Amino acid sequence: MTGSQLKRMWIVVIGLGFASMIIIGRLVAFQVVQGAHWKELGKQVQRINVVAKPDRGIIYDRNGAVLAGNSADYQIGVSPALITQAEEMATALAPILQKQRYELLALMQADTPYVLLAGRVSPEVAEAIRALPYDGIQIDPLPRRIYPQGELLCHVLGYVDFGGIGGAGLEGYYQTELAGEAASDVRSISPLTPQRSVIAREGADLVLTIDRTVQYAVEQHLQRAISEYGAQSGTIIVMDPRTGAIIAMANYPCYSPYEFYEAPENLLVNPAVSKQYEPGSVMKLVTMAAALDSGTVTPQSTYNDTGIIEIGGHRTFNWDRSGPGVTDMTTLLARSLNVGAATIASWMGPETYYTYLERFGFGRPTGIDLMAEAAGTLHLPGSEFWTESFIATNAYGQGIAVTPLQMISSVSAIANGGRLMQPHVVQEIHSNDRIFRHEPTVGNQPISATTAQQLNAMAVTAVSREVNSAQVADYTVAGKTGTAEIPENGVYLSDATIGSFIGWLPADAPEIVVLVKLDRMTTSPWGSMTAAPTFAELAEELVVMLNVPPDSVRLQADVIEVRGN
Amino acid sequence: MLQQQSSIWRYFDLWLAAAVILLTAFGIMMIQSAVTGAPAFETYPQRQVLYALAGIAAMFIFAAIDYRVLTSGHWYIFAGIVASLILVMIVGVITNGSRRSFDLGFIQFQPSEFGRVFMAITLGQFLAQRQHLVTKFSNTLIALAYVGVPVALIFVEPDLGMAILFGVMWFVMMFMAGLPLSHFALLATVAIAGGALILPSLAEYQQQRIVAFVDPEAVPEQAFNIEQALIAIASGGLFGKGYLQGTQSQLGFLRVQHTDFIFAVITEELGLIFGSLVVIALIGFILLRILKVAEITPDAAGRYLCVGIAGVLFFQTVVSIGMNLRLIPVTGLTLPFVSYGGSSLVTLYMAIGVVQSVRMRHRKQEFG
Repeated sequence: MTGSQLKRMWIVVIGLGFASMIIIGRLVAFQVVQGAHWKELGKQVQRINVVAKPDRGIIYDRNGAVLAGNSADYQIGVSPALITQAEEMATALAPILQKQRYELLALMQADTPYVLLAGRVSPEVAEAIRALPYDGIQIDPLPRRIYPQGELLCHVLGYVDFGGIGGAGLEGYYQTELAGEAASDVRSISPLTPQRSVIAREGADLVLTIDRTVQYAVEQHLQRAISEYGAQSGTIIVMDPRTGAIIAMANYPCYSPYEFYEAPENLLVNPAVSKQYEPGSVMKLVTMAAALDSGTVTPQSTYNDTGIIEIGGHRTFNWDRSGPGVTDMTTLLARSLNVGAATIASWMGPETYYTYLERFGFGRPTGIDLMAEAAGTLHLPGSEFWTESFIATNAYGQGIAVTPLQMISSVSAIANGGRLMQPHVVQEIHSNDRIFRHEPTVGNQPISATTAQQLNAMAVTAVSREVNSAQVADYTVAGKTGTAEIPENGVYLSDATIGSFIGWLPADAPEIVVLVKLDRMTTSPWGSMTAAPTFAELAEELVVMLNVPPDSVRLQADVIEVRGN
Repeated sequence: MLQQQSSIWRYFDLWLAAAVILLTAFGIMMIQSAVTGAPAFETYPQRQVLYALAGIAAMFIFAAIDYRVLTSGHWYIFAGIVASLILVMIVGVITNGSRRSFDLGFIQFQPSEFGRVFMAITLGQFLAQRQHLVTKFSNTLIALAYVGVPVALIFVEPDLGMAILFGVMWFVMMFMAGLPLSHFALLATVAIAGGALILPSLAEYQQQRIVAFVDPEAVPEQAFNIEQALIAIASGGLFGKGYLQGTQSQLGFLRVQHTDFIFAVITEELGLIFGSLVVIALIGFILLRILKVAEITPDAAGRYLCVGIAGVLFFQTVVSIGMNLRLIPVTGLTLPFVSYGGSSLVTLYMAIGVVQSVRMRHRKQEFG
């Protein structure tokens, strides 16, 4: 090697060393000097927080018909950097998305990695966009709840908002179960990372106690009644008194859960469980039950009805201002005498009477599995709102507010031998291959079986003597009408009432209890002329659909044996 | 004969071979880490082991062959290099927008990788033969034209990094051969002027890489890669986060982490001391051993080819680490012996084999 080559060799080595020093210096600068800064940056950097949402559970009726399922809307976006034909795309997209072409064009030429063109479009629109011959359009599905039965059962089902949260009814009450559990996970945005499921728990399916066909019939009857009697709104609940299972729960007017956002807010509430009203004379069933069960009266007891009674400074008159004199308990109930109800309540005294009201479940939610149940309003002795006159007014259903569900649930105890069953809408929850079944549970036993039997008989007589319109051919019906006044700002309205009827059949072994409630009827203010006939028409259909044989058939020995009751 | 053979192998540089194999093993370990959690690449560490075994075999074969057999046939080799580069443009497979490799079914074969080793041999001989003309500018231009043919072919593949690599190798070898610095100054001036003209004609992704380097915000995708590599390197600290513990690497933030960004993975997981410095020290040691061979050999062709090979290794190292450190634009050159890649690894071992061959035959006379 020549001297000059050796020199050049050294130059190469020095150059090599120099380059190494630069690299090492740079490394030290990054790792040691600026290390903290870059570490911090590393923490902030785009880790995508992946939340894999499990599919929301399906809601089925008792026979497996889908009442609530899942579909998708779509979100349309583009990555401006990937677009080569912005002009043509804007022209093509404008009519499909129903937006101005220049707006779309401006978005598509924005200097951002991603722009949203439409937040939520229907599958049809998404399909039309997918068919376009342009690259760079991103079509992402957004879960959307669908209700194949339209408005049917709207208040019971509730709705799911765009955030996937149930906002009412079952969707709200069973939000946790239906939604399942989405485990979140920090994910890189690299395709190298394998995808694994992060779903912690799939959404549970619900099977209801409600039968879609029965519900449909009930809703039809309700609508017909509302138009026939010129009512503003109404509610019908059908329940099995033996189990507490809700067979149908209808309110009118309804809304479409699929387009819940278009419904006025007050329509989203389920009146059957969330709206309170003064029940009126239907309450006399409960008052009578308390009086009989406490031993204050027997069915044969009498009182002297002078047409007026004054308790705590409040005067109570009968609805027809009559004063029938000495009257027995059955007549009291049949003719719905306010004076009589007030009389027996005053005989019981506040302590006994209000104990029974509480045992029947007034003043607190029934605990049904529907969202936003109201408690009702029951003022108890000792509270600042209670005065002595309440014992009289409460006895015939004034000064006390109940929900329709509370009312039917308490009366169903009378129909069910004194046992108040826990009302429920969901029969089964199917979660991760496990099935949870609702077993009928006794919520309370407010009265004895004997009392229930006596009252049953009186309620049968009451219907047969005074409410012919509630009779169902070939069946024995027990029941009670109510015509409630509507308090507004502390004063009862003179021109509006709530007509209601609660009836159950067959009276000796009830299988169905029905509450019909019509608000502000215009054809007649009386429950007996509106709600009672509605009950009868509906019940005639229900006995067929629910397979309740006519008394003559049902009471044959072999039928009893087959039906097992 | 046998006696003589064994005596030649006495000069086989065990230190060099050991350093290379150690670096390869280190690389395989890091490739394992880089592809963990990526099922598409899970066989890469095993495949790299096979490539390394093939490479070690190639090293011994090339050490056994007298390099002077190769240098004496340098025109054939040169013709072979040019022919394979032309052939790849016709029947090569397209990967990431460039046509660089033959697909032999079980392996992708990249002629320019082999070219850089054989080019060192042929250019070494070419320069040694024309040693007496070295001060003439015409010689410089002829030598430039000589390397220009393969460089042009590689450039149109396109493979900017490899083309520059050939250029660097040429310069280092010319420098050792005694290229007058005035020639160099003149060429540099022309090159800078030419570069300014050529830049607009570069492939779009090549332009992007340069733009990304100058202004990382301009090309989000590229900026992202570099940024992630920097975060990985910087967050490694002195001792690293531990093998398989690098969040940047294991969560897949680094793209092509088993090749282009392997250095970032190493630094994040093993830190400055156990990672970066180990790699740099090993490569530095290898380079010094190769340059030592260049020093002791009396044969000009052998010396130039050793320097050329050292230049290739050096340049690849600087570029590969430099792009991880945002010193140099991303070119896609591999980190020698460390990055994943069959033809890269095998050809590097072949190069070491040639260097060994030069070393083993540096004595003109061998006595018992």
